[in-house]
Amino acid sequence: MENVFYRIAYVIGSKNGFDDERIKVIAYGLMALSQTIGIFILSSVLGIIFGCLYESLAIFFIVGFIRKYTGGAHATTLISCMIISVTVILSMSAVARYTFSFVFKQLSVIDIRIIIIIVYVLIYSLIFITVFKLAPVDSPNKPIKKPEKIKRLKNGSRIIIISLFLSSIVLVWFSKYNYRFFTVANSALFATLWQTLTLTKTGHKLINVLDRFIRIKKLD
Amino acid sequence: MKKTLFSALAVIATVVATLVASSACWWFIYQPEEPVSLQDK
Repeated sequence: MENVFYRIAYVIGSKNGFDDERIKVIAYGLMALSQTIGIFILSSVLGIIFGCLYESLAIFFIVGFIRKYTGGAHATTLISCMIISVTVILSMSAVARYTFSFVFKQLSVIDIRIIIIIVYVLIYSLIFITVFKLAPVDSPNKPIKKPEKIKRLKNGSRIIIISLFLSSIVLVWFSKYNYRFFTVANSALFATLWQTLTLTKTGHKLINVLDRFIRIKKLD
Repeated sequence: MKKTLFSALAVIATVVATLVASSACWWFIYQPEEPVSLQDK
């Protein structure tokens, strides 16, 4: 599928008299754009169908945004990436939307928000330690060597995790007025957990297994 | 008209490629080989 973008870039480049390197840059930009738009449209449409649009959008933006700073494991093809990403986004948003309503039924007994916030503090602490130790994780296709860039990405990923943690706490606190605040806070937690997992060796193995499965089934 | 469209597409794609180059990787889990001119060596 990647060849399609090189062909389009070649047509654009030859019409404008660009050299080979500029054509490669255009193909690279077109692939990045189509991947992002493709996953956004699929996640939104499936989110609407399954009634979890807010959650799937939250996961889409949070995973993408964290990933720009932390890096992580990669699939080998564009289609494989899209299948894995959309499946993960939809599964996590459905779980965030539908499986925690029982928690809120306990509100009449005690204020469950305090317990949820304690759980969030514990999970986000683990996430922060992992991101602090491992980020940024580069790939052979885009090695990160410059110490200044490593430092910038590391600092950026820490700021994002702390901001997400604080936003989630606020959402959980106000979820008494609207249950969807809680489901969106859960989506943020799942998105951050998933992205943290892709930084680890286990995450790399998991993506490799899924990637191989998709290639064996010839879905890409 | 066609040439304008191709030029606009070239500009958008180049801007996106440059923006992506400053981050750790793409928006999601696929990362093709980065063009040499975008690499920060």
